[in-house]
Amino acid sequence: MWDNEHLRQDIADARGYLPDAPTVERESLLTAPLTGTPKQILRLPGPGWTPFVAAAALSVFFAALTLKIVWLAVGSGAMALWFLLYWMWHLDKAYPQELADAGLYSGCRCTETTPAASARGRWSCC
Amino acid sequence: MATAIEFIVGLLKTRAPGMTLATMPIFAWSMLVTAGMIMIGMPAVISADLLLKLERAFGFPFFNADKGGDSLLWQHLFWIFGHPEVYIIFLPAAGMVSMMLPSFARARLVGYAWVVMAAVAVCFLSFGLWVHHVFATGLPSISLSFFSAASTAIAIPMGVQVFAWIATLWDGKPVLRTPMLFILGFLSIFTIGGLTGVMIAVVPFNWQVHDTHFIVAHLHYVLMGGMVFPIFAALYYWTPLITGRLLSESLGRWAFVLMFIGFNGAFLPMHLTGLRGMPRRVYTYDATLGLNGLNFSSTIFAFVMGVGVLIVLIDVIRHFRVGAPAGDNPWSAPSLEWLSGNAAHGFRRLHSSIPAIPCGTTNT
Repeated sequence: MWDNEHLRQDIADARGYLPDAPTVERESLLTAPLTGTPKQILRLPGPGWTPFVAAAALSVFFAALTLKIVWLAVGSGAMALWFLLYWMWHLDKAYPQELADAGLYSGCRCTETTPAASARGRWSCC
Repeated sequence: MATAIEFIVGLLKTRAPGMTLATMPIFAWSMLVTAGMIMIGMPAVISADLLLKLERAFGFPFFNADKGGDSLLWQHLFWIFGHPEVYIIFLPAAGMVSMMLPSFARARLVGYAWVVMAAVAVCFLSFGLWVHHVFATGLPSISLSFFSAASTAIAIPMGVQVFAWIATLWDGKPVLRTPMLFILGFLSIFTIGGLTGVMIAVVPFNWQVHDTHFIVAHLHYVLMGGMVFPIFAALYYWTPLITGRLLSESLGRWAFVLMFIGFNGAFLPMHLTGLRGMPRRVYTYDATLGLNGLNFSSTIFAFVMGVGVLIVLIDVIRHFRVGAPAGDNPWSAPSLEWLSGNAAHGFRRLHSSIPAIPCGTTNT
């Protein structure tokens, strides 16, 4: 901010990227790793209980092994594995390939092509 | 490990548009490197833990020498995680210091690229040092030599970071607010800890001080200095962003003084007691060793430090009611998190849009 004192006012006036969510869902911007060039709009997953259950079951697995309760360890380990797979499986949905406006003084600056058909929650912004 | 993956992907793929790797904040670099270390180091300790639990539950002979196992296997599996772990603890704190220091020095961080390269060097080097935790187990001399050299070499990237911070202070006009006091405390304490670390890297000296209070003194100097003091600096620095209220400057100064004096009073004598033979991991010791006085003073000063920590806790609790309003950027900090306003304003600015970082922006 020492180099760009106008940033604060730009943000306050919503003159950046994604001033509103084109899909009215939680979104962020995917940028290139090296250059930071905006590439795609990322639709973020919402909160859910499956990863929590998987984590809790994994904790029980390690605790049960420590206490040598083998049946509990096997059961909770299987439960953790199941919920992890269930959670990740349902993340991998194919979303419709659409163009959307990423904002920044109206009109998108992205230049990337559309992602693969199996990509989850992403679509090109140009 | 899932969190580490999330950090790596987030840092590489979801930065503000226009923010290149060369302008990424130092704390972001520290977290990227730390996440990489977690990905490589955690599987070793998870495997060791699983093997241990299977051994205890089913009687498998992994680490039990009577059954054909090897207890040294446990030590190597643990410490190949255990040493990178201390840098997993330290690097985020170093990143936080690199973020806070420019605000109080009123100068950009000197040697940004060098600090980044030093953090990456620490990441790689830290996986080649773990054997210095098992020097006293009868290893061959070639192992001792290699890991002693590597353990000494890691002082170089660590020193680069320390000199960058000192140069930043030299270059600017430091303002001694409470976070800055904790940062100065960190610099002095961590440097002392680093010096004793280089001493312990030398194998003959290591054999003398292994399992004594000297090691306890060293680890507390690097961990308390390298993590706890930066954490307290960060608490005073970023609490206004979260709550919209400043913590008390006077209580903070008292807390720092008590913590600094208490810590050094407790752990500096342990270098002496360790050299005089005080073992670690014992609940009692022979009264004729002549260490009663120093150990007792360590105890007193430890309680002094505890009072300092208590003052911080009291300050945190009371600031919700009587803390002065912070404003949007009480430290005139250059980093982007202060763009968001604060909790008093509902962080509304960050929700308005994602900033575009113009070309030519330099990192502070």
